Amino acid sequence: MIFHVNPSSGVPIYVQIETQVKNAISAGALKRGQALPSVRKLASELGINPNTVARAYLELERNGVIATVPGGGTYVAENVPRLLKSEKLRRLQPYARQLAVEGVQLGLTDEEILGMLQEELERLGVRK
Amino acid sequence: MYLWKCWRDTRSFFLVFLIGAAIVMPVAALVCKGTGLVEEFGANAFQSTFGLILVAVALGLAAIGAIHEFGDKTAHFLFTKPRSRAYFVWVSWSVGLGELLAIAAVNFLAGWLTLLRFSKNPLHSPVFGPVTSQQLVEGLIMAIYTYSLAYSLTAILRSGLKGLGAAMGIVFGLPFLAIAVRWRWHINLPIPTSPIGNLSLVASDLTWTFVALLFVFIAQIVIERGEV
Amino acid sequence: MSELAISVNRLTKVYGDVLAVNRLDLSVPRGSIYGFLGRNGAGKTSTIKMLLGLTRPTSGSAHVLGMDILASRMPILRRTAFVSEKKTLPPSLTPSELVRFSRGFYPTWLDQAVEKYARLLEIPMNQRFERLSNGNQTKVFLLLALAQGAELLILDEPTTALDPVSVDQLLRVLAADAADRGTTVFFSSHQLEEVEQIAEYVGMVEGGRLLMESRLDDVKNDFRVITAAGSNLPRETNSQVLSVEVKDNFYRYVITKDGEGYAGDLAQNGATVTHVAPLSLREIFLELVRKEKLCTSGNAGETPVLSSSSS
Repeated sequence: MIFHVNPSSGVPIYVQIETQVKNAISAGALKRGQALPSVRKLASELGINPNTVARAYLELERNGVIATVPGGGTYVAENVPRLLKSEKLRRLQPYARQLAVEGVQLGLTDEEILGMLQEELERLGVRK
Repeated sequence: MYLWKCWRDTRSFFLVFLIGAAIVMPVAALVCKGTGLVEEFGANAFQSTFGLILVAVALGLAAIGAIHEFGDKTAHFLFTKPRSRAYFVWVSWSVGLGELLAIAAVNFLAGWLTLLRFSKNPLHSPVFGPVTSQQLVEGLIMAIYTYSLAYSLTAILRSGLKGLGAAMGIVFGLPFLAIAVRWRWHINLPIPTSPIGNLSLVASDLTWTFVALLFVFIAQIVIERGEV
Repeated sequence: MSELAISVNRLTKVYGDVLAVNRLDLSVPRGSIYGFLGRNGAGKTSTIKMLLGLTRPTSGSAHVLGMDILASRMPILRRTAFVSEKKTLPPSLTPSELVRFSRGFYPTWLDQAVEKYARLLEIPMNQRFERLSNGNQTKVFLLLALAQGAELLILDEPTTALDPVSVDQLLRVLAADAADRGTTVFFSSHQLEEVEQIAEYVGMVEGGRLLMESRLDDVKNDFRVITAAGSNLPRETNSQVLSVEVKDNFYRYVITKDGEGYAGDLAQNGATVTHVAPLSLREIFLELVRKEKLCTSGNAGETPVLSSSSS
């Protein structure tokens, strides 16, 4: 797994790391049970504060995405997908809200708004 | 290790003057060989050069030593070490003092040995009489006095040039001031490092030494209170 | 054992008629890396000098490692390593000799650290200090500081005049060493990107006053810029709204917390929200400084925007 972080971004470094881990898992690049670099090693590679990496790992562990084994080693958790889904839904929420608010403001009906959403989904050809 | 650092900072200057002090009398004697000047004036020439060399060395050592420690550039490095500022003031002063005394000893030895080749009584000049130990001691104390004064002024003014200039001004100007004061107000100012008033020679010597130490003490106070 | 490595309370320093440090408050947690940010002349160096006993405060107080700066100068200096803004050292000594010199002052000196960092930072240990490049000179300072075995490292603009490669090396070494030994690192800088790379906490000063002190992650999570269009949108600043810029009926808000919520409120009140985005530290700093300059009096009664509430 190769990480890349931008310390000058408005997004905190630990969030960037978290996001990349989650994306890698979603994309299948990181498999369940696969080992992640140690906090010290990753921090050293990226040239950042180890506490930042530690925080990212803490958050990931709290969300059940990764697990640490006593005696060392951090691994992608076995039962990841379910919880990742909740994260995905959480991320989509603000957009849904915005769409709803905009639609209502413009005076569109619920059917019109949903219909528009349907069109977009069809255009993308979302796979089941 | 601070001692060692002070030594390193003043090392080159010290060595140059050490060599100079060691050879001045032998060289002068060599130059005057056969003229008889050495026998007649040697002792007194020696006494004057002894004093002068020491004053020059004193001024140089003081300026160099003090500016290395208390100049703007190194103060931040030194004063954030866990030692009192008084420690730095006195230790670097003593290193310079040690060097001064070493040069004095070498100079004296060289002069004495040189004169010994010309007469059995090296410190006795047929023309001017004996060079007393008091005269030599006064020369030494003058050097210590000048050294301490220049050192303190350099540390307080934070500039080798200013410190040196001020010290020279005081050391060489004081005798003239004393003359003026005596002429105008008929008061006899004590001149370093000649005997003071009615005090015994020893007492005068000790007093002047004490004054020298006082200069350093004042420098210590100023530096302790100062800002970097 | 106090939980703050450095604690500063209404610290003030006046030089003649210049107010260099103005009732400054700082809290630096132990074991953290704290970036002390500000422009040149904002009072960073004056503050640091007071912490180390190089100058005396005009008023206020400060504690380093739990000890009062006025009463405990020696114990503080024994346990604190310092890299000054002035990167000058006795010119004719070599790094090896400087190590020899510094060693004797500190019972906590780490010989193995000297070897390690001399190698890592590629410092020519036997070249006279005055002959070293700027970068190497700064590295010597860093070496001496790291080898001291101190609990607290105070660095004043450590990366000035360093090339980007050396800067990166320096930051990495600091972060790794601090993590290894649990030391607290307090460094001042006006280079925001460097602070962002390793700092956990930031404190921003301008004109000797504290603008803001917070966890860096919190600052980035909380601050948002929102652009919206509409009429009669709010124009006042308050504890949540740092600044408002209005042009025709376009509004630009810099929000200090709960940006998404604020955007939602705007939308619900009829505004069209065009953009909600996080801000880089640079942008936040510029905003805060801009706002500080708008205040005409020295202290307009504004308290620093965020304080480190969560730990």
